[in-house]
Amino acid sequence: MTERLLPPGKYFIQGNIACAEAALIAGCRFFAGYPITPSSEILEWMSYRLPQVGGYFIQMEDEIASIMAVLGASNAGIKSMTATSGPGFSLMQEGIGFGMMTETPCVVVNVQRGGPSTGIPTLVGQGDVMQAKWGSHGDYEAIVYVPNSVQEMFDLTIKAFNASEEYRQPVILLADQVVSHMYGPLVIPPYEEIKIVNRKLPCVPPSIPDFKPFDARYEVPPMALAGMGYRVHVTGLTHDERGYPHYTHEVSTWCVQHLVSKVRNNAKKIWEVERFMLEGADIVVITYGITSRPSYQAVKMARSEGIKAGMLRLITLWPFPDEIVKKVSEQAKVLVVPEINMGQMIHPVKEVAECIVVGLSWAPGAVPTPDIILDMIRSVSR
Amino acid sequence: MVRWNISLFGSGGQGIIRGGQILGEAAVLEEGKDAVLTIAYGPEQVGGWSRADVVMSDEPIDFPLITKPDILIVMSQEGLDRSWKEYREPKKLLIYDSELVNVSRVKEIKMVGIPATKIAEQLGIRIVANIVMLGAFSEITGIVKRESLLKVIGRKFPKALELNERAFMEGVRHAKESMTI
Repeated sequence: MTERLLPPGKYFIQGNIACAEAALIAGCRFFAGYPITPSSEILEWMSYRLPQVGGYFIQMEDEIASIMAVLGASNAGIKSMTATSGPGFSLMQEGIGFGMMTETPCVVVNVQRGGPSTGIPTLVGQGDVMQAKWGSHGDYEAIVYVPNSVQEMFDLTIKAFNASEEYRQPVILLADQVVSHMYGPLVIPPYEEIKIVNRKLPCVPPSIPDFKPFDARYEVPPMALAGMGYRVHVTGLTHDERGYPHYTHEVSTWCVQHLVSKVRNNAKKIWEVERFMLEGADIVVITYGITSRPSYQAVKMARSEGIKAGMLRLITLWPFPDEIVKKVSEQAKVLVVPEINMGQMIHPVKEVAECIVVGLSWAPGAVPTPDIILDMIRSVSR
Repeated sequence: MVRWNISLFGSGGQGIIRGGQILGEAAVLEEGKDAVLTIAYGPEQVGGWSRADVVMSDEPIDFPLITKPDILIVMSQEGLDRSWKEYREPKKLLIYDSELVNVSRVKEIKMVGIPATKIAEQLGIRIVANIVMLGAFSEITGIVKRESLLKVIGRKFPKALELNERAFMEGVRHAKESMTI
């Protein structure tokens, strides 16, 4: 089937299409979704492409049904994805929590637009960064990747699939309207250079007595799929190692601890950041996603004026790379956090920072220009 | 670093976004530049406003959006009016469809009028007007080479190659004429 995948080479392509093609290369063969601007191109492209590679596409009646169909397909062993935006992401939270509790790998793409509610559908926002972590009720640790280019729409989609398979949970690709709708260069390397992770399956036969699909000896238990012959019970209720609901404090402690620590214990492996002109930087811009693009230029302009500015870009927003931010803050005088929201990621930054933290929080449905960020850098440098 | 901010502005159905795709692809795949295309359009499928912003550079592009274009290509009156409301005028050059756009309000900026839609109609079909404009753009500015654009056009429209090539070369011819006047 690989001949039907987008061949290695250089392309000029839209961010959403790059995401869809990456999913296919990662092995995604099931997509269920409901169209919503500015994510719809992913759904449209998957409806066209999945049948060509032997996969399945369903347009569901809404976003709740979409995420549940994705979780069902994943439990049957198919790598699965959905894509949505703002209001649809809110509807999907129930299912994302169910996926966390049942340890079901899948990728959820949320292309952020201006909110709240229906908001400003065709314009950009970054208001879902906290929702991406805390959106569903109860305790879990989200893994969230934030792309800032067409190339990263491709690369991080593959990484999102890999992380979801490795840690057995929904992983979120948190894009935004500009990155998703933007056309830009995409280089697809030879397939053998693309790392693809597949979930571990049980190595014992289904006939083994007392098989435990959520065996506590594993940090991430191998996944017994529906139809393999194992006795598997999948429930959103707090469950024991057998997968059955169990109403004791001991099991609840274990179950929640397990869900959280499989990510927390591996956070350093998951973290990804980009360090830009950080050498001797007094003023460090902490950015993520599209806001990093004007920040590169603002930092360069500031340096040319003699201001020691630098930038730290968070590629994994969650788990939050706290130690890295803390270390950067120890060398800096001020951290500047520009966001297209009224101040969200500034809070975890403040929690660990050893210096002053200043927000550039606004939500006009537009990306701040380099001049706006430069003015902020100038004003805090005085 | 040479960075070009090129904005194409017109109406839905005129192939504005297609024009932007061709420019960006030619820059990236044929000339090894970095390029980014961002698009915006009104809610109507046909007839509403439509804009394609292409940034190209020899070096990696930091900020992918255009606050004020160097070169503005307008193919409808609304395109011009909306541009003027947003940023008055381009920094360097205005190329406009001389049959569709009234430029009496434009002052102190270099401009070239190309009757792109009329030329396309004479070739038999209006929808190649955007390709006429690309030919003119290439000839006037030299920012993207003629051969690069023709290669991309060849890939995108294999079934209507001859028509599109003729449209492109008509644009080149008119640009040459208007510049010698």
